[in-house]
Amino acid sequence: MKLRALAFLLAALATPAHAAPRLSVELGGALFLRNDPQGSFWDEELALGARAAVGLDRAFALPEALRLDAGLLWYASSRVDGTDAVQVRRTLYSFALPIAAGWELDYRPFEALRLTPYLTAGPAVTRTSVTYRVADPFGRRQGLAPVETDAGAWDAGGLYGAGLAVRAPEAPLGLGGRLEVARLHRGPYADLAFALGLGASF
Amino acid sequence: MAVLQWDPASRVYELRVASIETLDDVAALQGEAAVAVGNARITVGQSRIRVTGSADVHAEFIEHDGVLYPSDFHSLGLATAYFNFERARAYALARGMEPETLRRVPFYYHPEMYLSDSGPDGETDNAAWFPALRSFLLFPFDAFQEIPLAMNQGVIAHEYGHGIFTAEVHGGVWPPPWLAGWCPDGACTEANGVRMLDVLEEGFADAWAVGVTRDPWFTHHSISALGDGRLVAGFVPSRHCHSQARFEAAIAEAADLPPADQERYWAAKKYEVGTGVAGALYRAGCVDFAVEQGACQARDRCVEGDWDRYDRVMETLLRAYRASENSLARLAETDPDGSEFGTFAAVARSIAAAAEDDALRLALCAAFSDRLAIPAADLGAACDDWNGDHGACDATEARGSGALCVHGGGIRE
Repeated sequence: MKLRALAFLLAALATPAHAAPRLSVELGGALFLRNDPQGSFWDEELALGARAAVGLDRAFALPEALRLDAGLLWYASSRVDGTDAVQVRRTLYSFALPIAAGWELDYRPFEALRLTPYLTAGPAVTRTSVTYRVADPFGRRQGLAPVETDAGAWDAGGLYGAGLAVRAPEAPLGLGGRLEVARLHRGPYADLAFALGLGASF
Repeated sequence: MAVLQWDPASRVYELRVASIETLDDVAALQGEAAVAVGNARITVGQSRIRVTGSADVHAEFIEHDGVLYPSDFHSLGLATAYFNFERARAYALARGMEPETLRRVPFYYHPEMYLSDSGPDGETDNAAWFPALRSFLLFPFDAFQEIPLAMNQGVIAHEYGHGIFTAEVHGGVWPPPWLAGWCPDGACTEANGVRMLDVLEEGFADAWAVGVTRDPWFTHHSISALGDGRLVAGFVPSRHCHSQARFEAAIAEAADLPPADQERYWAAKKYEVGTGVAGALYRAGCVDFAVEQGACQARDRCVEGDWDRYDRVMETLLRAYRASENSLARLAETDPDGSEFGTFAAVARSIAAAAEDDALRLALCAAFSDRLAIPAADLGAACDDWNGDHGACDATEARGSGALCVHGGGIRE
C-alpha cells in the first residue's frame, strides 16, 4: 500500500505543470567575514560571485507560490598580505550546489516586484591556492632572486543560509536579484557571507 | 609543517618543511615550547599591568603532499614563531636548562600596547621579553618590511635568551628582590649594576641567538639598517673592544643628560656594549689562532661549521647564571648596591669559573681579558693559570709577532 502511494506521489511530482523550467543567471559579490587567525572575531574579505539556477517549481505540480530552484554557485577571492620581503597570496575558488526553497509573498512593491524569502543549503567545495614569496634582503644583496613556493588543496563542506530573492517578470530579460546571508565552508571554518546578486531569468 | 626557516647553505630565509614536535593544538599553536595568544590589549599602569581581549589564535592550514601549509600570512607568522620558540627551547634544553623553565610560555602575537595615562602606545616593529608578564610580545610590523621579527629565528632566540636570564639569574621573579636594594624608591645610587644588567641581557641574548641559529648575521634579515653593528663574528676593534673605563665613561656621560634622554642613550648603548660581551663569548667559542707563514692568523671554526666549542661556551654561560658556586645570581643577590655586579671583571670571573674543562676556561679568560680589557689579576682564581697576555684589542702589534697565537687564544698548543 505504501509503495503504491509513493509511486503515485512521484508520478504527480514528475508531471510537468508547465512546459519549461525557468533559468536564471546572476553576477554578484559577497563580503565574507572569515576566521581571523590572530584571534579577533573576524577578518573581512571581498569575493566575486556568479550563480546559475534552474527553477524546479515549474517542472513539478507544486503550489503556485512555492519557489524551488537548484543552482550552481561560484565565488572567487584573493588577497596578499605581508611585508615587502615575505608575502602570502591566498586565492579561494568556492563552488556550491545549493537548493533554495521559498514562498513568494503577496506583497509586491511597485506592483512589479515579486519578493521571495527563501532558505538555501547544499554541498560546497573550495580550492585554496597559496603562493609564498620570500625575498630575504640578505639574499637580495648577494644577488639572489626571490623564492616562490605554491601549495594548494581542496576542502569539501557545505553552504546554508537564508535570503530574499527579487524578480521583475515583466521587465526586459526578467530582471532579478537576491540578498543572501549564508555560512560557507571554505576551509576548516565556516565563513559568514553577505551576498548580493543581480541577473536575468528566462 | 611548512614554516619560514634560515637555510645555512644559501644563508637566506625561505619556506621549508620542518618537523614540529611539541605542539598539542596545531590551530591554536599551543604546546610545551610556547602558547600563542592573539588579539590582546596590554595596558601598562603605574602599579599594574592589565591584559584584556586576549584569545586563542586560529591558524589555518591546508594539507599539500602530506605537509601542513599555513594558508595565510598570519598563520605563517604564528606557525613560524612557534617553530622558532621550539628551536630556541630545544637548544637551551640541550645546554642544560631545566624542562620546567619557560615551559608553555605565552607569546602575544601582534598585541596592542596602551599606557594607562596616555592611551595607545602604538608599539610596532619590535619583539620583546616582558618579564612582568613572563611572556614574549611580538608586535605588529609597520616600517620594518623585511623578514618579520616573529619569523626571524635569531630574533626569537634572542628574546628567549632574555627569558632564560630572567628565569635563571632573577629566579623567575621580576623585579628581583635585590633590585630594590640597588635602586631604593626607584633611584639607583650606583648606576653600574643596573646598566651592566642591561648590557649583559642584550649581549647574552645575542649569544643565544647566534648559538641557536648558527647565523651571526641574524639581524641582517630583518633590520638591515643596523648594518654590522651587532655582528659578533669577525674582529672590528671599534665594535668588539670594550673596557670598564669606557663603560663607566658612558655612564658618566649619560648622567649629565635629562632623565628621558638617559634612557634613550642607554637604549642604544646597551646593545653596543652588549655586542662586545657577545663578541667575547664568540671569540672564546669560535676563534682559534695559529701561526701561518710567520704571521698570526685567526681562524673562525664556527664560520667553517664547527660549533661544538661555542655550544660548550653557552653551556658554561647557563651554569654561570645560577647553577655554579660563583653564579651571576649569587653575585647579584649578595651585592648590596650593584657596584660589584657592575664590573666586567666580576661577570668574567663568574663565567670562567663555571667552565668544566680547562681549555674552555682558558679560552674564556683570554677572550674576556682581551675584548673587555680585564687585567689578569682581576680575573680571579679561575684564570690563575692563564698567562695574562692580552690580545688583539690592546696590542695590535702582537698580532704580527705571534704573541697572540701563543697566548692570546688562551689555548696552549
